[in-house]
Amino acid sequence: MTTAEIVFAVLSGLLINEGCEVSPWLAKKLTVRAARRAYADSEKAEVRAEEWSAVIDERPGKLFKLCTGVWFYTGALSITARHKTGRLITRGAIIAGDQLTKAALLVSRTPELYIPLLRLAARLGSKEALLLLAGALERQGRIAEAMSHLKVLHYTKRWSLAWIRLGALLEATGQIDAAIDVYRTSLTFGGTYARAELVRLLISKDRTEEAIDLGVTLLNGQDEATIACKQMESSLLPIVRQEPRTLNAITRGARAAQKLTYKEIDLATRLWLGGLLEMEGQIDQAIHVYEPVAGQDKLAALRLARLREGDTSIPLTPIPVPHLVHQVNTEGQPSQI
Amino acid sequence: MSGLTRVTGPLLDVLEVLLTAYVVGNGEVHGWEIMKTTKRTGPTTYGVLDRLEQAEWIVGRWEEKESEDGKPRRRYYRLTPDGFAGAQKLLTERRPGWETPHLTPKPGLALFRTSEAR
Repeated sequence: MTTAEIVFAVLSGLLINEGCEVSPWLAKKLTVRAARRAYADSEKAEVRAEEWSAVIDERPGKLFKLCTGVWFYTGALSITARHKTGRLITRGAIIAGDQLTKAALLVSRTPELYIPLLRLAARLGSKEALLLLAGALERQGRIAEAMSHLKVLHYTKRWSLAWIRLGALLEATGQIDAAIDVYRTSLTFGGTYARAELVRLLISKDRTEEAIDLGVTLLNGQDEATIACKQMESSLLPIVRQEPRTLNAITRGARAAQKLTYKEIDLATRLWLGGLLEMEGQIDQAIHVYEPVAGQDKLAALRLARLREGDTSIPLTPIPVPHLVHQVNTEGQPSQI
Repeated sequence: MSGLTRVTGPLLDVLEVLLTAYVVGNGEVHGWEIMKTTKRTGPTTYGVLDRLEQAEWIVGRWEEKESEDGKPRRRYYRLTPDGFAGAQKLLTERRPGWETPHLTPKPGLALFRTSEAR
């Protein structure tokens, strides 16, 4: 046996021995780090750190304890990665959707800082600046002024975002008929989600027949949500080329958001459309509308069962779609400014 | 189902354990026990426990023991009344084969206790 072999044998023995002794200590250190990584709230992190240390104590064997520590730590890493992915998804959605959304987020935080700049840019002919200016003024509660800016956007005929925003402001100031007209105009050049907003207003004005017509169109597969999804997917391609590292997170996230949007809209649309048909006494059509979603939604199943039994005594109150749309927008989709 | 926006497999697994403990056990279980029973990983189990705590379906308490050379304490979880009702409803809806466990008297002791009560 050479000297080197002897030294190696002694050192490796020492290392293994020390390694085993250090394992439980290391495992606990890892759990503390894992808890701090996984929980932003320091109090909660302390609770979990002690709890997970107790779990490590339960594990037999020193190496097994270390494995558990590593297990918790990798779990915490995956939680952090998920949060990071969430941020990337939002970023992806912003880039894919519109840079304007990003700008609008900035402006909405401190509108007073941006208003002078936006005024200047708007005077120089930037329609984006004018739209952002209207948003900033709206944020400050200067609704009438915001509306006047939106109205001067004569080229908004090809820009649905401005029309939808204008519709929302008109609605907020009680001018429902004007808002309906604005949403209708928006529809003629593909105003995303304008249809859902329009349906809600039509219901509030008891124009149920028109609402039903729109609802049927929304369900036939050619609705704005589907079109928006397709547009969003194609606009992802440039990012894919530029930022390959974030590719997976962005595409997966954006696709999930799209699916969620479509799924949620479909279910909610069916529920309110079914409700409207029930109110109108068109029971066969209501059954037809509930049937495809009865397997996935309890309310639809319940309504279907009652209607089939001939019980039409309590019609379902239509559920407004835009509420859901808004919810989805705030989570993953670029929202309207 | 206030506060619980997503119903997942792990959530139902954890609820099963908590509900069983609530009905036939001593009412509470600690994290390690849940992990062992559900065969779910630590991060998954604790993710579910976080959500249930947030929804106020469960409450946690520290193990009561004299501090033995600074050993970490276990944390026990118990369903709240709301959580109990919600868990029962959710499991009945989502797991068709699921039945809420019933108290089954242990033969000898139960008879003894019954005669004592008389």
